Amino acid sequence: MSTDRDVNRIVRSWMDEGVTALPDHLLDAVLDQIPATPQRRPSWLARRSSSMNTYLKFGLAATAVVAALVIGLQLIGSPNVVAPPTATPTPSAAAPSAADITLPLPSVTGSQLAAGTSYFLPDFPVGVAFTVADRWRACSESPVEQLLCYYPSGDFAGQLGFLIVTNVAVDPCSPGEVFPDPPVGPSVDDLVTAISSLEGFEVTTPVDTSVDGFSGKLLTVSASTDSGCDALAPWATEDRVIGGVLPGHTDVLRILDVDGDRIVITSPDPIYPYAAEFDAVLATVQLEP
Amino acid sequence: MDTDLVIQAQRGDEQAFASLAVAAGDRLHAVAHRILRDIDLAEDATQQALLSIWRDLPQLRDPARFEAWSYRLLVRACYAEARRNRSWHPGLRLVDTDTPMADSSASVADRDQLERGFRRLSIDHRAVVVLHHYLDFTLDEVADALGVPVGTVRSRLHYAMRGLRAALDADARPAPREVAK
Repeated sequence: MSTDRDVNRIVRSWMDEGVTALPDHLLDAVLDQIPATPQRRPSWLARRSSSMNTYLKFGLAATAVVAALVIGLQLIGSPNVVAPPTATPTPSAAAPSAADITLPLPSVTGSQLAAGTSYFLPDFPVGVAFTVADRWRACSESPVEQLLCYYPSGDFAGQLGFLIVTNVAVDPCSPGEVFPDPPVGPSVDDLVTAISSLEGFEVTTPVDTSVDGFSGKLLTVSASTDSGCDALAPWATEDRVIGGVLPGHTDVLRILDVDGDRIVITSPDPIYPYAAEFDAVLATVQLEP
Repeated sequence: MDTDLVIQAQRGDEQAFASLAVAAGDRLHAVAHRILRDIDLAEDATQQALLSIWRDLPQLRDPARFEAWSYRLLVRACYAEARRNRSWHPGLRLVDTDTPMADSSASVADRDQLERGFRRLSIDHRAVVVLHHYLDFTLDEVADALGVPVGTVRSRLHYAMRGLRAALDADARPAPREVAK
């Protein structure tokens, strides 16, 4: 029987064996790629602001349509008005049997995705394959913050997120400064509990949900408008914030246990104008532990 | 590590980053090789880690923490590399023939058993063993580098060392060596 001291000595000796120098060709390869590799500035806030502007545009547009209809009705005086066209839900594409293409990473600039093609998220701890319809782009920030952005009319109109959330910010109004220590536990319930106790948010009672046969909890998170913050950013990894919710907005969170790996899928409010398009993509999601 | 270099690289200075890469490359690659136990996977992971370091540097809030932070990105890259390489099966390749064997107190039999036991560990467990026993990090430093509580580090190290001790104590005859490359 080996003693602890024996094992430590043998392991340390064994660890001393092996390569100790980075090959020159490898260093050259890295340095060659640097000029073409953009650095990532903390950009989620700007993107969320873009999201807010788009929501405002939706609101203004909807108000204008209603006003026009009311005025039209009054002028014409006829009750036989044809209802305005509503957004037709995109038919759910057939679930992919295997992913065709691995998304680029990073893809902050928004690589256009081909409609009807199945894609695979790169470097995500859980295998995620999905199929998109038209007007979706990849806009992932990092392996733990994989995003699909929707541009129905050329403008950004929301995102579907696949996140690895390992912590939450103590103060979502001033994110990135303090994280709980110890961080949030590893289970679905641990994260649900942490999110439910966040200040500045209204969180619905979690309900059971599943995606591709993997179970978890679904809850909606609404950011208060009373906080005085430009944005409330609670989702974090060990050392940085990876997203949040604008005041007055709501996100749907699906927190899933994929054979021991916890993932979070975020999507816009169910009353969001393009909710059907998001649901269509979600319906194609396949998860592989 | 020169924090001025880190700050310059954070601002997009490619020459400063090149200096950082030269200074940090050897130790990152050595750690990657010891975690993954495969020279090709280690090279890919190191390359990916260095690119991630460049890409994410502006998000590092405290430049003085560059070294610990760089190990965290390296371990993530090792994890991703092990996952991406679907044909990578821990435990199948017992010995890297391109690994120089130093004169050490670990016998050939010990090395084989350790190799076998180590490959059964997850990347998370391997990282703790390598940072603690190869880099001589304290448990607090390992926790800081990996971004996990020190209790988690202690637990992972205990589990990993128990597995390695069991491998060393195994009575089974050593399996035939398989050549890595």
